[in-house]
Amino acid sequence: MTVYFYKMTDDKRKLNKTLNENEKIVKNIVLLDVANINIMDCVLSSNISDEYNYCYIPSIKRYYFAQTTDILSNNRKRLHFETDYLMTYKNLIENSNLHFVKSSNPIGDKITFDTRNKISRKTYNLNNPFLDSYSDVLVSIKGV
Amino acid sequence: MSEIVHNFDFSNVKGFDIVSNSDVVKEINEINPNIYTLNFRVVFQIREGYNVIEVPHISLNFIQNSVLREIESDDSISDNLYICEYHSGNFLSVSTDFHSVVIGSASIFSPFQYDYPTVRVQRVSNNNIQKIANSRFDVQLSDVDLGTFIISLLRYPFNVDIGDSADLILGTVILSQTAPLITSQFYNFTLFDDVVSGIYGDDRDFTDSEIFIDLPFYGVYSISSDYLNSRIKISYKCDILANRASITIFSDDVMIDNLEIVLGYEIPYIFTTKTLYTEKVIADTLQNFEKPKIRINQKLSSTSIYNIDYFGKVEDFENGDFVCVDDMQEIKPTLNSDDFDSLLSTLANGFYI
Repeated sequence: MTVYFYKMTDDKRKLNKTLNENEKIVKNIVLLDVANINIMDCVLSSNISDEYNYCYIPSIKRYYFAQTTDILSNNRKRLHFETDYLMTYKNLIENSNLHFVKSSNPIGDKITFDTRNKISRKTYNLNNPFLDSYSDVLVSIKGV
Repeated sequence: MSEIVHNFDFSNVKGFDIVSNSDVVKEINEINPNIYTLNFRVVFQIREGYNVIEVPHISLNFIQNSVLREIESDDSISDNLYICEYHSGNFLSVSTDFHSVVIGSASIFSPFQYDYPTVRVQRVSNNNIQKIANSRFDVQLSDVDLGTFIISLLRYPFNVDIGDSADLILGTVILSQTAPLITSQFYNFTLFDDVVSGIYGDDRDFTDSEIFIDLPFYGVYSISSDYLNSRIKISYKCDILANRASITIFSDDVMIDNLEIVLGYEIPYIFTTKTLYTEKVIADTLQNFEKPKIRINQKLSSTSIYNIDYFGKVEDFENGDFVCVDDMQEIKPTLNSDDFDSLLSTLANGFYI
């Protein structure tokens, strides 16, 4: 099955997420545990960056978030994906008549505070000088 | 009247350059021509980057009246210059049969090898390790377990600095193989040195924020959000002799914590299986992150939101943060029940455009 992988930096709650097509990776993968289309697992080579945390499966027109990653042997990793309902049904959401209960726009007159846990995440990469080389060191006693 | 009666042989001197050399000069006493004076002065300079192992010294022997005389140089040190000299003596008779021994050695070996002369630290190859394993109980070499002379055999995840090769020696047994000596005990790495800013870049960042750092060979380390918007520096100082590494974390050049870890992997030297040593280090993925990061999780400030009772489409808004329900049942007919329930839950939890 063909899957497009993306680096996603937008908040999960954003309806219209920005997908950088220039950094898209196209892979043919085998889905694991496909009993439920809302969640899926797949196994990838570890040389694909962890920044690829989002995917689109064109054959079923669904978008997914990478929720967790398990490191496997032989330089592989298993990714667990869950459906992004906002992007998957973006057109339906935009074009359907909905009942807006709350909004940040001052349409109503009852003001309250938004206490939902909106978490923003930010990362900085560190150097890792401990991956590319190694040295075997013998500490011995001589002349005793 | 003076004459050079002996030339020094410097072939035993290692790591020093000869700045000046008078050789051995015999001078005749002007008042009493039967009395001689012997003089010599040699100035050595240690080569740059070398450490002294044996201070230069000269011993001079000769026969006087059928008696062996020994002269030892007076040695002094000044500004990396090592001076060996002798200026005295009233010798009634001096043979021409001089012998001298000039010693002095310096090496680029690190100071720690000099400080611990019985400890030898070498970078070894797979062949060396197999030789060690095969020779440990070789009765022709020794009837004791030579492994008792191995303090440690460790695999460090970086290149060590090496100098000249030297014999592998366990105790008093030379294993007829060589391996390069290691020239530095300490290795420094800077994993990060930059400003770490929060979402806002101001005082709001200090509230409801968490900073997690993936530290190789340590694990996840948490520091206070008070250090957001400061310059964070993370450095590792590794001591390969002790197999310890010190992780120091700075905020604006002030140390905020110091962690001690073990960095090298113990290698069993009792096996001879080739494959055991040809595989690269398989890092513990739980502790040695491939791509370590500083991760900031920050709860965004509460914003004002309005209770409204509006029926319409999302496209009616250019932007905004919304909570919606599908009262009009427009979405339901197009979806299966699982997707419908999940989508309604997503809309009810809020989204924004």
